[in-house]
Amino acid sequence: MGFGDAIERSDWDGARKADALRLCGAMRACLDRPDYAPDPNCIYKNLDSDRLVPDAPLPARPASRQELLRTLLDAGPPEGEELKTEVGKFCHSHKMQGPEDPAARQRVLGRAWGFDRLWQVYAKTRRLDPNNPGPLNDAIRLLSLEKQREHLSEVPLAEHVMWSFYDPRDQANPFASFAGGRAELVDRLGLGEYSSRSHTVIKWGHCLPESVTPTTPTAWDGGVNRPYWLAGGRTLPLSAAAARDTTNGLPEVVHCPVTGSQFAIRIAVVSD
Amino acid sequence: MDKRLLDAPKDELKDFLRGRFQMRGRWAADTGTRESEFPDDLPLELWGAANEGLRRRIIQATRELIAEVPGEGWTAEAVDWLASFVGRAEIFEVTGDLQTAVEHGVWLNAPDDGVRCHTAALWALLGLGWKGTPEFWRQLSQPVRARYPALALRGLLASSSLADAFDWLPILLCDEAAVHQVLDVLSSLTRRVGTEVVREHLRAVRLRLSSEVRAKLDEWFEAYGWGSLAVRWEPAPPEARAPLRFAPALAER
Repeated sequence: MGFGDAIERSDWDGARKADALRLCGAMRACLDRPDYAPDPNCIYKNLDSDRLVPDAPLPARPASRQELLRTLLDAGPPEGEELKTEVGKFCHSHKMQGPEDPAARQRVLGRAWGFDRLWQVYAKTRRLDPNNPGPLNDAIRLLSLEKQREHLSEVPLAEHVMWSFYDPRDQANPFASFAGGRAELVDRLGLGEYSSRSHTVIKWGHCLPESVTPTTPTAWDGGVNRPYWLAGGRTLPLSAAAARDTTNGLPEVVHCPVTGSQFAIRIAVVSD
Repeated sequence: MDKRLLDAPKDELKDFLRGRFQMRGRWAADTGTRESEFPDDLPLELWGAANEGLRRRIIQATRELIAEVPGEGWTAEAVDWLASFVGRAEIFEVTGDLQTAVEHGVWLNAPDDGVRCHTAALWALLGLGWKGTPEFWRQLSQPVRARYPALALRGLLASSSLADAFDWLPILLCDEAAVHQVLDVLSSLTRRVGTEVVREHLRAVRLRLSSEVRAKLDEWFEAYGWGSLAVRWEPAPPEARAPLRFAPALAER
């Protein structure tokens, strides 16, 4: 498993195999994140080691490593930033291809997000003043679960693919195993982008309608910009990132965005 | 952010902005979806870091993109992000371009959800401080004001007095769904002028609302903890009551 095996198992001739090997080296370099101390090379490693991604094309499975390499080789191959861009484009066009996670259907899923992110989606949906988040503040502070569900019934709870998690031991409450506040939530869910306290973090629980399928994220979902994540279907706690240890993480799924009509636990600001 | 953008010529900036807003091609490839990076995040970062020359090029690129709508690739979603960028970056220089698009209904004729595109332009204009006139907002077409009553109310509040804006509320609150949108504007308004003032203005028009909408508004006003909208009738104390008087013809009988 991995790019080496993908090349070895291909029917490409020697020259193309040599090009593909060089390409892997270039890819490793361009995806490097020197600013991410636990593992600067984590993005390439995710693409190289995700067990859900096959080496060669297989029916009804996520796109393969061979397909990525072939796409890049046929395109030139590009170099540097261009190469990163092309890998990113490939990831974008192969999202939500992981296996369905039936357990996620039975459970209340949890999500933590930046207050300002939800506000921007909310303001855009309703054409409100984006610089005045008072209406969302009031909806969070003053409304009951039922009222939040009704008031936000047309507001999408994510902009792109939606990432959610659940607690395998508590069907109704994804936050059941959280004892602390913001720091614990950010750590266990691997929300590195919210490490800085300048962001207000909110959380809620939601259920999925029949029409939405939860799948285990693959390296293609992780994309080329995501250092706080490890392939394997569980969140990667920031404090355990160096050891690539997800034992304290929680099962994670990706799915199409749902709206506030799916709330099962009311939105709340995560306090310290 | 790709540092090359800082020296990019106008046409490359246009490609970059178009790629981000339409979420396609090379410029959208590294969008961080798990972090919910928005299509206008990177353009805003670039705008924030830009010197005067780069800002001039971005402004020109943005003006040319506005002129491209409605054209190939400009879905309602992409138009929303273009408008969001203009509003968040406060690019006042494009006000005239958006105003022209609105006045000629150019975006209203977009093949992909013209109403949404048209209101995206209005949304950006309000963000840039453009107010329009009360007549303009009152004359919004029925499909526009029915779908985005909050926008119409915001426009009226920006261009006329509180009383005049509220006077139009019975037209805007055409169904229960509209109540939710209007509540968001009321929420902002309570912070600006106080709950009491908002309540009094609502009471003044409340009886002109349909019974369903009135009940919904009453229910939600209370759900927000802003008190009751209904005015309870109480008899005046006896000393305050005027003595009964019969009409002269009756009194003579």
